[in-house]
Amino acid sequence: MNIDTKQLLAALCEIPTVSGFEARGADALDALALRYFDEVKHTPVGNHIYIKRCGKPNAKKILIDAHFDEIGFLVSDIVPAIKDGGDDLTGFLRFVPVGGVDRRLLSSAEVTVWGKQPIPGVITSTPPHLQKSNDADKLPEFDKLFIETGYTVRELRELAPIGTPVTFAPGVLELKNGRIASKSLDDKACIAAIIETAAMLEPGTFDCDVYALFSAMEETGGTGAMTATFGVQPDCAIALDVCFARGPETPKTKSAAMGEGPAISISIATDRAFTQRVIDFAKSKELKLQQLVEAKRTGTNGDVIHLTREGVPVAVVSIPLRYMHSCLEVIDTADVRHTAELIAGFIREGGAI
Amino acid sequence: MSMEARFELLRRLSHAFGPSGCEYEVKEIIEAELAGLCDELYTDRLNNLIAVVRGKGDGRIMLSAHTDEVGFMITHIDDDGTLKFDAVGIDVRVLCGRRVVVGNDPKNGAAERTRVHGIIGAKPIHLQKGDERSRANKVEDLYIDIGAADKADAEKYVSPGDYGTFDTEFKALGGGCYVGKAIDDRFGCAVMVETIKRLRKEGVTPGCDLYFAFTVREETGLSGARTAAFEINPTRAIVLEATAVSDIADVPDNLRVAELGKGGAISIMDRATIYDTEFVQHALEVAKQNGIKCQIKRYVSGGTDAGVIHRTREGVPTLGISAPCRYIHSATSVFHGDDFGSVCELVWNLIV
Repeated sequence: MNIDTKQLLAALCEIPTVSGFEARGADALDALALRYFDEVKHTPVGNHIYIKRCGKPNAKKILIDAHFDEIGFLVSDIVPAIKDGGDDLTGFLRFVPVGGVDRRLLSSAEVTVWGKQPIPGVITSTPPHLQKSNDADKLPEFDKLFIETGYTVRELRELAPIGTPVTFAPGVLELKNGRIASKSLDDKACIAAIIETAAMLEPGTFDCDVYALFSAMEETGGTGAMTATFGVQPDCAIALDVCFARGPETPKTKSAAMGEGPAISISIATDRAFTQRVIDFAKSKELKLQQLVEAKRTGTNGDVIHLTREGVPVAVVSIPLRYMHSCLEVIDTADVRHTAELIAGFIREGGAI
Repeated sequence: MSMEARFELLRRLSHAFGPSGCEYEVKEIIEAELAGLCDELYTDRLNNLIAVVRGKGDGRIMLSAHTDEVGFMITHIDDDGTLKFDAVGIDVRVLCGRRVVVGNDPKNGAAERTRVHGIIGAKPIHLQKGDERSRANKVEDLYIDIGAADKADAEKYVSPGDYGTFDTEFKALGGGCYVGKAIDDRFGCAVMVETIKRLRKEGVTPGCDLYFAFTVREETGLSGARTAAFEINPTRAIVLEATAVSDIADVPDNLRVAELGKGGAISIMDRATIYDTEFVQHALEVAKQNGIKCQIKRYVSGGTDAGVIHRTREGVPTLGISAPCRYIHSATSVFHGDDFGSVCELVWNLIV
């Protein structure tokens, strides 16, 4: 079954899933993913668990996780253009970050306010003409930034009340060499890889039940993966996330090359024997797989999945990504396909333990 | 006319690639719009486009709007294929994470017209140390990523000396506002094109010859207007611009400059010009008599082509009318649709 990776990524990145708002994305996700699975469970914390059965009794369960949430913002106040100027003046939205947002990216960024309808907006900035001489050295604090939408205070109270989620503006930009830039490729790139994995798994070619977990609230502490793993009780798990791609400002020891396949974490926080099985499998099939040493922790859902209930053998596999947590993260789409081939092959070869 | 149709030309002009020194694409759009509508339409030695509409009486009014926009120049290609650049007229704090287009033109000696999409990269927040998270970037720290595998790969698409601009889709916001790049000064260009079209449509012959100068390189030192004004030798000049305002939340009254939706902002003085007092009074009077919204710019900031036009030859009485524009010189400048109508109407009443 052939999937157009770029199209799938564009559709996934379009779904607004600021941490805590993943449940709202259920229908859009079902439309893209459900056809490749047998069942789906949408859990109370916003996890989406898609199950693909092998049809055999007492089958082992392998959990493949990628987080569905993304960094973003919440509207925290609606302020008139002039203090105490009344509700009919243009309103400006104060906002707070959700997850690790880099303030250096914000001034003049395009955002979408996901209120009663999607509302395009821009983050305010001071033009150079109106700055004092040393202003350009200072990075504005969150409380000095607003989102402008053009609407009045009165309209915004209706359209985008306090608590409304906001993301960077969606839209995929194609770069050279099959690379693309978009918001939320962390971790929609891995959601796409799992959907492609499921599409590659023909009935009768594998012996375990596959639980694809599109988890909630990774960016705010792993709540989704923790609770879903408890519910699924898998025999083993692979957490898919993104890692730093080699590029400007990324140390070699903390990054993997783009286009060379995913990177598997070598870490005390994962199961070394299970990890080695994945590495051995990749070697035997000559599949592209890089290694990334992350001694103490991986900083992914793998860390929480591993310590659920009695403990779960876990491996962490990551797609290299540049400019993590920015409005335009960059991946090589070939790495999504490399990842899907690795995971699907591993499952077919009896990878679940 | 629907809002969409009304701003179709401005949308195309806003999208056009026109950093200072590489304004050809903007000029081509304007030339095509004006084909057959002018008594003369020519490009001068510095690449200014001049459209002439002959009038009845003596004198020459020069109307001026600049075709260029703030942008970048590629200074170096790194071994990893990313591009180092210098920024012209841009606060470095609005650069990180933006979409950009890099390119050049055969008229500047390039082999062909090139346009390459890229983004301005940023070190992931996870890898930032110490005060990096709270400190503004310096332009030397930034780079453009076009997806090139390495230096040799990047060199297939880009050369040092190539130009760059922001890459923003022009679109409507709420409340009659619009957002786009290069509103400064494609707004002025669009006003001039609309004015010429209206003159022809209504068959009006103006009181004197009108020289519409679509100038180059305003953002890097008013170069185009300097030579254009010398050639045209006008008796009066009207500079059409977009001006930086900050009528937003949390900004004190004395720094707001002017307000969106309240008409063109007429300058008394900026950093380059003290505008002609009588011309200013005349414009305010004409606006009042005809019920056209306009406002006085309440701050001394920036400079326009007026800076060189008003001191051309023996001197030229000059007026400046600007669209109030928020977040100017960034990827996302915001203006109010009504101000386009107000500025067009005021210009019309000043020239016929």
